[in-house]
Amino acid sequence: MSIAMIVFLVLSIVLLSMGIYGGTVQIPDAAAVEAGATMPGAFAQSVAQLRNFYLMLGALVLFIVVYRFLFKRANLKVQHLMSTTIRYVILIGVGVFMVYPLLWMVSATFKDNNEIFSTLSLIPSRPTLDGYRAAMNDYGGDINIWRAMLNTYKYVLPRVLFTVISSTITAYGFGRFRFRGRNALFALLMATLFLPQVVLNIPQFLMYRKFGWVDSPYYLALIVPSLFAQETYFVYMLIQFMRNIPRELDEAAKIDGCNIMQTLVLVLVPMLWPAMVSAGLFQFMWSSNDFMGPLLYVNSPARYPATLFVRMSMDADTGFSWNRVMAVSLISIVPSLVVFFLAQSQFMDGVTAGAVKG
Amino acid sequence: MKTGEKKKRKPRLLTGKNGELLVASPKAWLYLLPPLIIFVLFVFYPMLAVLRTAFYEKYVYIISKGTGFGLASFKYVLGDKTFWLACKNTGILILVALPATVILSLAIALMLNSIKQLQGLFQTLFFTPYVTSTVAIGTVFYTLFHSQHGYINYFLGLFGIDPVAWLTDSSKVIWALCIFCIWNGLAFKIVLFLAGLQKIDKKVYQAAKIDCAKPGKTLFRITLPLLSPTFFMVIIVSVIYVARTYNEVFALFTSVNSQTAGSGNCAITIAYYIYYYFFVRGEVNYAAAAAVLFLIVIMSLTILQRVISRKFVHYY
Amino acid sequence: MKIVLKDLTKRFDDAVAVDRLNLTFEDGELTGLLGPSGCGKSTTLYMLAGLENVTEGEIWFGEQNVTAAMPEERNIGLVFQNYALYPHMTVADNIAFPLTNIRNPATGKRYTREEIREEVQRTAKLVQIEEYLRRKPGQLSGGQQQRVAIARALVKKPKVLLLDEPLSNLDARLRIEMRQEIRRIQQETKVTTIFVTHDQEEAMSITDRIVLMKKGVVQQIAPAHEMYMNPCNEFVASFLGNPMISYLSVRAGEGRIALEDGTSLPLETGLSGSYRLGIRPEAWVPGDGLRVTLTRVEQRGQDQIIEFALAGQKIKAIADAATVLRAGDSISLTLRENRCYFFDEKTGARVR
Repeated sequence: MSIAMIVFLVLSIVLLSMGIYGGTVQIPDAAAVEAGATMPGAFAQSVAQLRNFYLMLGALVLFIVVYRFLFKRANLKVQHLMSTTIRYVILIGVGVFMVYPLLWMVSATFKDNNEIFSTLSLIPSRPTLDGYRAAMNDYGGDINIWRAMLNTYKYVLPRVLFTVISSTITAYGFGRFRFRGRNALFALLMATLFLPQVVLNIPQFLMYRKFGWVDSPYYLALIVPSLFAQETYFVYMLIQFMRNIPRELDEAAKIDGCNIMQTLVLVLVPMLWPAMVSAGLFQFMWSSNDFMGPLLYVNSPARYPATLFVRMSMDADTGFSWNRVMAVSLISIVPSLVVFFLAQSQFMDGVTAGAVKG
Repeated sequence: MKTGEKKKRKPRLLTGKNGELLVASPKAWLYLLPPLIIFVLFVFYPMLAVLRTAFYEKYVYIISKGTGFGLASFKYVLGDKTFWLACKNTGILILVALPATVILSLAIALMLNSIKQLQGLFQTLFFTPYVTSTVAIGTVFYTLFHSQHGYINYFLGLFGIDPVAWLTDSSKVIWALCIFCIWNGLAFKIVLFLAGLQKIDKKVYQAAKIDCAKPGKTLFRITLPLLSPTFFMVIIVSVIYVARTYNEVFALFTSVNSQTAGSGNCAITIAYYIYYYFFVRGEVNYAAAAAVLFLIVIMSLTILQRVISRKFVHYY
Repeated sequence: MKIVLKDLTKRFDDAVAVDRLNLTFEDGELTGLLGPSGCGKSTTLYMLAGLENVTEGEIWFGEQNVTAAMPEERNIGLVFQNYALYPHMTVADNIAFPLTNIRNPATGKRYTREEIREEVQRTAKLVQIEEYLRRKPGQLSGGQQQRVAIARALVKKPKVLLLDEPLSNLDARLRIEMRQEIRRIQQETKVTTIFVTHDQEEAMSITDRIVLMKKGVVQQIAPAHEMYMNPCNEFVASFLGNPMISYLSVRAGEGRIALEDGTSLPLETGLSGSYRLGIRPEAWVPGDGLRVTLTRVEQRGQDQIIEFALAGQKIKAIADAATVLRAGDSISLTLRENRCYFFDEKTGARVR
């Protein structure tokens, strides 16, 4: 066995013995102390308290040692089986970690309010629909969850549509044409990718206030910028995609008599379609989850979209009921989840398209 | 074209860098002009406005008028304890949460890349955090982090670790924020790394086997170098993203009653600081000054990364 | 290194890709695995390399049974179809890479930097790529990349060199040049080499022996010339030779051969019965035998490919370039017996 393995083995033995030792230490409770029992030393106390921790760590290290030992002696097939099993176990563990909050949310919506904080299992012991019933609360008739959802899509859908259209046109201009100042303009465009939105929010807010777009019933402050390709990430993504479409297609279209716009719509768009769909899906998700935008530009509760409504439901009543909050949160993210599950592959393609070039 | 018909101005044909035929067309400007104008309007002008505002000495929110010209706002911001706390918190996020996220997501992507079945299922599972809105999941984490009843403290308690006051102890809030940010950030990076890994020609691994390379060697001498363009792109994008942490703070720490990020603004980040001074306290000039400082830092970070990446990335 | 395959079989689910192969490759030989797509030649190569699992059978390298051995234990070199060079490393590093993973057989210890440099230099000289050592694969042409791939495969002085369709990514002229290079390198190093190809001309031009496969089964093993002259079945006869051999259904009897429409062929044989007659294009020579009208003539410079019909079948022949022939011309041809083959109508096996 190699040195490293011996070190690990020794380490695991040390840890395990500490854990076992900690198990044997008796910490008398207050009454026994009064009756004359002595408290063990500080070190013993800390070991006793952490004994589970030591035990687990020791077991883990021991497991690693044993695994390596067996691995080296196994034949090919068994080796492959072992490593694959470990990988799957770890991946499942990670999966649980990632999905756990969501599962928790779902289970909490069916729990009693006290139960949320007292039990830790995912299955509610007395499933109730209280949470959902409370979620239907409308705050003085102004707004309820359904209205909030509707409000969200009142601005999400136009935004998605406009973003896709304007980004495509802008990408077309940058990707297919050479003109004076193109490079400079492009560099500028890319620079804005790095610009933190929060920095722009200040003057934009003041500007929109002057325009009267704040708290507009048509969510103008949220929609109008997307008319003009404000999300440079999508422009960038579409340009990358367009690079892969041979220019000969443009020329063939021109020979067949298309003008510039027709070339775009009839020839390029069908080929760009997957990227456009990806962009649309992403914008859908970003906009529905957007919190800062509505926070700044939507003031009246009746117009609150879902994200603001979730926040509002958290504070509105004193001693607020968490199952209600969970229910509201869950309902607010359901559309995004549904869209995601239906269109998984497009999502993944969209992410990777932006990653084509370093 | 029939005679009498208006002659269309023929677009000039140029030869591009790669010898391909490009169209130099003044019409291109037509298509780009609208977004460009608005771009100038919505981005450029605001940029300049921020700069201007930062140099005001006094700003009255209601009438949108500022007076004075000088560095008073900057002086205030740089002397503000809260600002430095925000910087420190953001710094911890960038220096601790970010590397942790990147390394974890890289490891997960490497593992995902090596299994044959169920890759799609895991990918979907791992991407789910990205789909859920931060605010909604924030409520969940709020309960999980709860000092007495939260799941995390219970879990720690199993190992004998004392319960941590994640959300109330001002020295601990940053760690709660870190954990939340890590959880949130893994999803996107895993997918990006996975995409980068899958772009590597599979035959190269077979060649490495024939060349008698051990798995560890293959990982460090072949896989990671080939992944380095993706790696640096992820880092650049992530640094900018983490520096802007805002939603997470909002989700975990604020409420309608108190707009501060935790008691005494202990969980504040730079982005939140800007928001706080602008929206909550109405002191726009201070917010603008902070924003300008923030911008300078981000720009320099980006430039720094570009320089580093030129040295380390194996372009091929 | 002598390589022996015993009953080598590979099954994918239900389909049999390689069916009970029994082959011997002698030490120092250059053997071509030839066949159409899907015949199992690449699969066999990858099983030899250890990159594919063997379903049944054994592989022996010399006295060692390597069937269960991993690729890194087999001491082989493999040149992939797309070269699979490490794009981020220079040519020198690419070639050096195998040496960084193994121990020097001479000293038993790891290679020192000096030794590596020497070996890389030597191998680069062998494949004639010394000037490009500092470049990266992306900056090289296809032919140069291939040389690098060969160098990388050879640098550790393997017992076996495997090449997977090494020439299919190159343009026509480069292909001819590179195949000579491969032959030269093989003869200099005397390493047992097996290469896979679907191009019969390639296989014929440089190999010591050809193994022709179809659907996982070996059709014939022979040196090029013999396989061309003595095909053992229709498939082999059709595969080799350009232009392809032409077939006629004939009836033989009483020393004579007649086509379906009754025409007699200027050929004698002792067989009787129905057969498929395969006639090589060069079998036709000017002479008194049949009078045919040409339907098509292609000029090739050194000769002409002429086409005519017999009993409704298209026949291709090669004619001397001395007199220019044209479609519609009528000429007299006779047959050379040693380039005509009789095949069984049902099995395709060669009868005579």
